[in-house]
Amino acid sequence: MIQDAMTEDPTTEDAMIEDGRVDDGRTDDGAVDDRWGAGVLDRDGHVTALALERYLHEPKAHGLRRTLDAHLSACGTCAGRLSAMEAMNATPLVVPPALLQRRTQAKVVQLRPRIFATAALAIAAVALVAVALPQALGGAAVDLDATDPAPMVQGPGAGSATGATGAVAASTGLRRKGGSFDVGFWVHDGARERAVASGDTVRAGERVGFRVWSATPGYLLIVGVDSSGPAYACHPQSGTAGLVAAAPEARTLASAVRFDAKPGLERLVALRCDAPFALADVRVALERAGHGADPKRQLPVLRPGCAQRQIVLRKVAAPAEPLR
Amino acid sequence: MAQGQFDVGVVYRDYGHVVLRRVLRFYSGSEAEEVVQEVFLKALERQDSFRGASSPVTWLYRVATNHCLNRLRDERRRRELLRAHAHDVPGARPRSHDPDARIFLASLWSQLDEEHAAVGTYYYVDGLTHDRIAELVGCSPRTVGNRLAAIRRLAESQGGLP
Repeated sequence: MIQDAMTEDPTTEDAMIEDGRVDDGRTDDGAVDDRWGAGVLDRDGHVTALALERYLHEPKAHGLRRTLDAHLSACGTCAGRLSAMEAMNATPLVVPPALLQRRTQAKVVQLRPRIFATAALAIAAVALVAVALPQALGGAAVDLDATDPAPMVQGPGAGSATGATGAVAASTGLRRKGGSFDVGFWVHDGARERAVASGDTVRAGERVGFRVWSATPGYLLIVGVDSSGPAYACHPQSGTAGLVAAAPEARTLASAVRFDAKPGLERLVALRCDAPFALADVRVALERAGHGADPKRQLPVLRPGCAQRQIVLRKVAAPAEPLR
Repeated sequence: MAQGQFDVGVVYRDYGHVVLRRVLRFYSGSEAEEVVQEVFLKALERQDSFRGASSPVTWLYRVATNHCLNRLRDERRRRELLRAHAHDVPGARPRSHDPDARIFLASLWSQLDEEHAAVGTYYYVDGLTHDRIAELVGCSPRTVGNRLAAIRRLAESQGGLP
């Protein structure tokens, strides 16, 4: 499979920043002149959130600060808002290790989605290409728009990574069998959704989404591997485990992956660890276990100390119906 | 923070709260945390477009806004998330009591392209002036006015803004 991260919109920040209009009035010595005084108030005469942010974070914005100091001394509403922001700032932020790890990867990762986004459009436009194009791309599948929030099926038919019986969270459709972590896999065929469990059949062009529940915070990565290809990241599609917060209910992840036309077994594995990690840390073990895998055989522990859930699907090449 | 000196760790520590508060206008909970990371990754990728003469706060604010708008393309999510989370952000003034803002969030937002959605968000949700929106979006105040007029026309055609 191939990941396709978020779509890019050329009308947004690139255009805004590069057209030369953005100028915050900063002078050579780093100060900000007074002409921004009028711009700090909204239409109701209160300080904009952006101006308050600058007030807090730009000590050299002298003109801005003078203007706001005068307003804040007379406006309890804005002074209260500023206090709330200061209180929030008092809690230090810990830089997510996953973010630091991406420092050297960002430009590489950025290039791939543009190519495959084009491929996804081609697939949508011509159903036949759904079979031919992924093969041309190395037997890979094309991921969906990561923002696509496919509605999830509810109820006892929910597929669980464990495939075991257990209580079903009525509001989420995610089956929980105890423990502190679980994941549900859902397949959308273009018209309907269904929960899937190990051994189920999926078709080329269908897409799989995820619902995750975690009782404790940690780092989550969902990866996949077929019977011969390289392991790939499903969520986050950067390949670096992302933070997952503890929550009483399962939530649907924004990521989804579309199956390619290469028939065979498709193994999807969700890992939740206490420490940051990345696909590279489990790739070898995952590919060794996944290639030629027996769907009934459990995957070995990919990362000691981590919660691990998996599902093995049988993938057939023929699309069930024209792709939408 | 100057051009060519983008240390994502330092920038995150210095301005993470700025981005988090902005993202919380659109998302909540763990999803907001994910989006904050995405915004910084976006900023990391786009660091060449940051000009040292600009305010890093304004730049990150804009990157965060645009990223959230792009991410919320699905119209149902746009409506649901903004309606649900546009209230309780530290430092933000709740505007959901404003009938214009309510109509914009409830129905218009989902029907607009990104340019109009951005202008409408800054105007109806953030309450910014035409001039300030123009500076943020990178167009003239007249263009801002035209886009708001288009939003109003759309609203009127649907029984819209008072």
